[in-house]
Amino acid sequence: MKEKIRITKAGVPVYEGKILNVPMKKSYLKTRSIEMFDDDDPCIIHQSYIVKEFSDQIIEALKKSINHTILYTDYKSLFEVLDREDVMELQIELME
Amino acid sequence: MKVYLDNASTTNVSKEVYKAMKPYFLEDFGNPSSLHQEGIKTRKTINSSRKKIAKLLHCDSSELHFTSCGTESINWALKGLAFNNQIKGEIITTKIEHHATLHTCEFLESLGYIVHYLTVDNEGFIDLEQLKATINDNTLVVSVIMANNEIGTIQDMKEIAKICMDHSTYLHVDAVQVAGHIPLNLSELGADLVSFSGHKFHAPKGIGLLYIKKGTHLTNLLHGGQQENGMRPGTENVPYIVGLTKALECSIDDIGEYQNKLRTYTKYIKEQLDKANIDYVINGPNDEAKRLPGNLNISFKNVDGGSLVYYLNKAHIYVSTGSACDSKSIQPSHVIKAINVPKDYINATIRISVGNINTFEEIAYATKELIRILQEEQIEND
Repeated sequence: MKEKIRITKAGVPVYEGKILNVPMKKSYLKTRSIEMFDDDDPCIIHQSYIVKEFSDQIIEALKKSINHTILYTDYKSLFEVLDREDVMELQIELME
Repeated sequence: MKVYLDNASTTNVSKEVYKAMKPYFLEDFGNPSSLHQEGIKTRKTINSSRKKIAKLLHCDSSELHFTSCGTESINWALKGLAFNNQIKGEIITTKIEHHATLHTCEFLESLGYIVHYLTVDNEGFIDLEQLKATINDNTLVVSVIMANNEIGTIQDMKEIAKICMDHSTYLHVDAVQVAGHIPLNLSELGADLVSFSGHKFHAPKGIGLLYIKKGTHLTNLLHGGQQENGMRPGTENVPYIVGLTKALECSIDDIGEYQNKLRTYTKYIKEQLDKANIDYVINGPNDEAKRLPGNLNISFKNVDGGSLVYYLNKAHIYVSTGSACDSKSIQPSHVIKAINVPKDYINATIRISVGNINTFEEIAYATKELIRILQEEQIEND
């Protein structure tokens, strides 16, 4: 998972970097940890598994999309995981 | 296809073991301490099991004590010796022990024991000269993992036992990864205490064994009834004792064939990695005879180990990482650090542990997928 992505808002980058480092909502880590492990307080290894799973979903979505770019309207549930208030206005693209 | 290549973590309960255990859940469930027909029956089963194991391991049945797991056996061996001892204040172990040993030693350090941690070379072998230089009249016990759980290094137990004997020091051997995988003769091993765990060789989780050589005195960890000669109280886990016995019998029956099969498979994996020009290092001994059969601990250059295991899991291939977590970060394990795996490789370490359940088709599929994932990761690194 060495892919890098760019998140933009109205054409202006708000994040550029490794997919694995994308800021995610803490509440998602907890919710998903409970779903997967029934664990309210996951250790770092379990947290990192959830991060990888999320990153993998983004990569898959990007790779099958036109121009390797995805919008909120098509991937609402993925965008909602990002730790930002303005997710509806964002787009994610795969950096070459 | 689902490929389980994590047999050093745990194994399945074999059909033979399950079949042997089943009546003791459903029909023969009497308490072995009860003096009625049902209790007498299970008492006899425990005694017969102990005798069978003693014959397989070449010791006296009175020297064998059933426990709940390998960790309990190790804790009992080390704390039991320490609590019983009033004179000697030092312990020698190695940097590549299982946490059951390391954390028990840390606990004993907190009580005032001085613990020496021997270094190992890059294949995981103890420096015997360092052992000779460290051992002294104040050394209570030397505790060594006979075959390392991560990298499979099989230590020179004969030499270690001789050094301990020369200094009248107790020797505890963690044989958790050994039983059922390589031949073990307790009458020749020269150890005073040997720990075992059932689930590493197709018995269920929740059963272990501690060999205590005649004349070795331990303080109990638990206090209660008279089970296990009053040394390990608690109503005996009869079905699991039966399971452990059956598993050991089955494993010893075909140990030569088993070893050959596993070594063929690990050799195949290495050959395929070479053919695909994958940049990797093998952790542990290069000499197959000094490595646990089926163990293949590999580090790959400039790949993220977590991602590798994630993608393998996605392809239904189950292996272990060479990582450990503390509260804030994921680090290479203490074993991987101790053998000084090169910096460029250390973060992508996986342990493939092939077992008796695996077929050649599974190994071929897993190897192909591993190479595919590595090549994709490598392309991304370029």
